[in-house]
Amino acid sequence: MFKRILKHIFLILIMLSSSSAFAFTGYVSGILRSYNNLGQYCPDDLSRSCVGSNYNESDANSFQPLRHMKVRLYNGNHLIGVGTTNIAGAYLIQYSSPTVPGSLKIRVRLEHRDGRFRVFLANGHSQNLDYTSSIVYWNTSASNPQYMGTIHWGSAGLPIKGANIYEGAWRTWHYAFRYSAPIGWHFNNVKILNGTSGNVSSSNEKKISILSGSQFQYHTIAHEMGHVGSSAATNGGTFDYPPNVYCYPNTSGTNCNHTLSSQEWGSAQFEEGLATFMGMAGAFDPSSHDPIYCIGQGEDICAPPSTSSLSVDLETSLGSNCTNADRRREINSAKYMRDLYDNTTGDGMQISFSNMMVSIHSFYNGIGSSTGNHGKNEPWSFWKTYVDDFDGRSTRDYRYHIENDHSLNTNFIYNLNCNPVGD
Amino acid sequence: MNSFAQRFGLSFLAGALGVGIVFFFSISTNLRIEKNEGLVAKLTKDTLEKNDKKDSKFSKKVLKSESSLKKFAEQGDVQERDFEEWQGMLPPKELPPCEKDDGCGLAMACINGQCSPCASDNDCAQGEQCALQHCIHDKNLSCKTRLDCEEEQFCVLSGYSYGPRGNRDMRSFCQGLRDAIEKPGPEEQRLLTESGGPHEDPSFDFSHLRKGLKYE
Repeated sequence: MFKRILKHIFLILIMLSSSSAFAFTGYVSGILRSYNNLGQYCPDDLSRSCVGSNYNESDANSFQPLRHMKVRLYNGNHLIGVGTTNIAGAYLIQYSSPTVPGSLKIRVRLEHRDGRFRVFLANGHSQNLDYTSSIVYWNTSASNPQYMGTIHWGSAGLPIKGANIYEGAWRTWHYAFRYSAPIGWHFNNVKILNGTSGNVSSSNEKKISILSGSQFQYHTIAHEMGHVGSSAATNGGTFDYPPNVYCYPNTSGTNCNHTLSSQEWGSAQFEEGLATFMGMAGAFDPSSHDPIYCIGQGEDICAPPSTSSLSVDLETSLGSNCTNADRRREINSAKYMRDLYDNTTGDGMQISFSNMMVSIHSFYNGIGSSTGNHGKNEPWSFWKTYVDDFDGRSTRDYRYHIENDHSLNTNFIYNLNCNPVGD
Repeated sequence: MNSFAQRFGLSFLAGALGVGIVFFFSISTNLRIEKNEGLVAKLTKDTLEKNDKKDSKFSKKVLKSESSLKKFAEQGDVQERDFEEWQGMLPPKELPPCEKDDGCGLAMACINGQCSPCASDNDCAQGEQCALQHCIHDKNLSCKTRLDCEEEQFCVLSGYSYGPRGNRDMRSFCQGLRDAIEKPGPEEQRLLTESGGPHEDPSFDFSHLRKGLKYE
């Protein structure tokens, strides 16, 4: 009997030791794609030059990689592995499961691999894309992983809106924002809501809301990214104060029907123009001859200004004989900054994006005396600690700043546009 | 009766054995956790002490802009990091189990069978060191915290790279306000996009760092 008891103890020990140490490990790989319906690309029809354009017709209306995205691997509801996709949408993940998986589930949550931004549903809940394989291979390795194949999400008839927002945000990050140190420091964990009741950005909350119906508008997404990017570059600030008071000459109220060509106070004009410039820096390299910016358009192609009043060529000059109303339009600020940035023949100052953002960073802290002309709190009111001049911290102030700090003369490019307001 | 005694004896032994094993693992786990908490506390204490000697204006500016981040972290999605440090690439709270030192993605350490942010070099695999809660290959490491950098610089990470470990090309380096690379030209970008390979991110090449402003 004693031998039988010992035998049972031995068996129990074996079972306990094996169960506590057991783990099923393996490797999986694959490619993730989503149908890209993002519009406002540069068309191939020769109606305009696509030199320097980073988003072209060949990129649109096709399956594109889910680039630089976090990938999770599940056994049932248990997370067993994590990894990221590369620029081609490929991933290679190792996993460890306490039990032999009956299936393997790949999940992406529309989250940038480095946590820069993530797309959520309008209610703030996670938007997940899943793929489950009921086949589980044994004896896989990093060099011989279980290949899950190329997974395609969405279709031409039913593209996934959140994935398209991700594509627009990724393009803005990849082609522009990542080159700036201050943006790299502070542009983290930005929350993008998919399908809200308006296109707005909340710099303080690092939140972007994309209007239901705007999910395929690349330039809208890029512009809203620009606001949070501007906040990151200025270490949490905004040039637009008081917030949301756009409509000149009104000094109160919100929702003044801000548009690309509406009249705005100087500070709002600068903030909006800056957001447009930053977003479009991702869409068009400095070498672009036709950096056409579109907003509020639902169509695929960003139509040339000759065929759409809502399109503006950030390179084409309006001339210097502008009425006061024209001078208050956002587009003038965006064009001035574009000319500081571009390297096209004749008018480009060729300042890199990273150096542009350094100038924005230092401009936010004001010039000279904080209460003087061009100062941070111009003009000073003793009960306020922020700029209280609606035309303060304007494009004109920025010009003063960048010229004085860096021994530049930008008079030529400034006068190519309708001179933005401000003093 | 004999059979009952046998069953009773076996159950008793198995139960005692189970309790013993649970007790043993509990003690060893607690010891490990205490060890890690001690390391974190020590690092934080060292950081605070050394930072007191530095210009605190920079820290205050950083803290101001990161108040919203804390709110995000409290939502349970990402782990927190010393607020004196760069707040990018915070590790997720939900991480998978693991088997070996280099058995985790996202450059995480394998601690007690669970992928976790590293707190010290000992947590990482051989040939790796711990920087900002991530395991970095020795050859790619230039700083571990902001204390390793000059004033008004952050110690930052270049980003995850392709592969099961996620750190093959990931670098840690000191970055100042003006330390950023020039944007590559269109041809370089085209090749970058078409390559599609894991080496597609030259954005933080050291040879390009520490460039001053150049206005032409």
